[in-house]
Amino acid sequence: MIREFSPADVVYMLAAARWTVALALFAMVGGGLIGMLVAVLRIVAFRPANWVARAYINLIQGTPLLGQLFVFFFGLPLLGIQVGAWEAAALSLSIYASAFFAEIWRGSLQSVSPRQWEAGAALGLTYVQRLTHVVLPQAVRIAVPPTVGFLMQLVKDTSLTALIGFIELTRASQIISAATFAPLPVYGTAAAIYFVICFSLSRLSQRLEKRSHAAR
Amino acid sequence: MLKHLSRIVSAVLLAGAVTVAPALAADLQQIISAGKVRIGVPVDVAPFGSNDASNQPVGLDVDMANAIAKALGVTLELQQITGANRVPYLATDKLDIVIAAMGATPERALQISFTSPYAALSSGVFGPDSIAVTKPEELTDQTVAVARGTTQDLLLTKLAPNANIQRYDDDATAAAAFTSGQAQLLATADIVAKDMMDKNPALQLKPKFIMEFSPCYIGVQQGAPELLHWLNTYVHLGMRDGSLSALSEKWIGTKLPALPTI
Repeated sequence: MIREFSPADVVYMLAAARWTVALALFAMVGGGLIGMLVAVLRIVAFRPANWVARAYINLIQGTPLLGQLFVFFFGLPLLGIQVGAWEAAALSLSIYASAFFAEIWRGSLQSVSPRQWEAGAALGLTYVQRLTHVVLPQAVRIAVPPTVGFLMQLVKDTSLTALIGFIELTRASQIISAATFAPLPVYGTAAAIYFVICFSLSRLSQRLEKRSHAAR
Repeated sequence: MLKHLSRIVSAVLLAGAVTVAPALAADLQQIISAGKVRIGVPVDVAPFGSNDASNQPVGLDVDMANAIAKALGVTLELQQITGANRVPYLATDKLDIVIAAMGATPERALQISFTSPYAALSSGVFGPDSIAVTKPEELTDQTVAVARGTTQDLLLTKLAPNANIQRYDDDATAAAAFTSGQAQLLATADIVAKDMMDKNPALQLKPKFIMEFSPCYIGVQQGAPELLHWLNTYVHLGMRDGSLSALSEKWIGTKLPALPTI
């Protein structure tokens, strides 16, 4: 009944890790799009939009990801909407990420000195020109490290989807650990795979930072 | 008499389902006309369900699921479930049947229906010779590792309220806590203890006491009385012709004793 932890299991874990990466990528793109919208709503000069954005961010940041995951996976079917583990996982991680991206990017935009706006105006640039040529390039540079930092967090947060039965890296490790009774080597391997994914992201971040010379 | 009683039970369940069931359960006729049955099995509870070397699910529950789909004459849609999501999966109509070494509790029975037991496992507390414990009351300062939410956990919590119980995610991590010395005793199924000793002869997992012979039940959605009745009939016949006992011998290593029916 109890079998050995074999190279075939590592292959199975690597195959499951593709879903970890796919989930993180989806949440990055989906969360990025929603997050951009929320960040704009958060700073636009129209109070009710600010309130809505702030309420959204507070709600998402203030509730556990696991709770959101369960609401989508078990809550939607109660309303007659059938969702699979992948849909629920992708949706809740995107929404979760959007609230954090919105705040990271709002902060980055606002951390560019107001004098940059004034200087742009003094040169006769329009609002859009000031935003796209002066403020955004500087804000992007500021935003890269916290964005990538959050992405690494997101990669590891995908492990929570194991609880709704979505077979990604953590769930695959649980299954193999249960069959081999060798949790240490199994979870050690999983940790190494997570490290490779996150370390690649961190290297990518460093390269992106070097490439953008906006602040100078 | 039994048939009569189960009709009454079914009628009551149906009446309840009309008011509480969030999704309309697929009953026997719908399953047969759809040509497929959705059955959830564990893949992290050996010997009931685990992945083999080529990562295909195998185990007592998997065999049971295959046999049921065959007897129904429909194709099997096997779904891997976890201990945490097996009841919600049924309650939200993601599955028709759950076969997952599941124990019946009054709380669970509020949400799903249980058939008569199809298998049973013997749960106990195991450890080295150096620890002299023969009954639950003697457990005081020793730490006992157990997989949380399992039958063993519920039993141990009830029988030994003074014990220092450490709960882990599954049997494998609980076993690792024992082998690494984080816990002095291990509460698990006797088959798991035996297997661990076979694999690692240096390990001392002697039975300290057996807590209970716990039956396992098949779970179905509420609001599917005909399916429930069919499964009960299937289990009943399997008990009589010895096929369930043979299944138990194949995976657990012991014959199945007479089990009380629901």
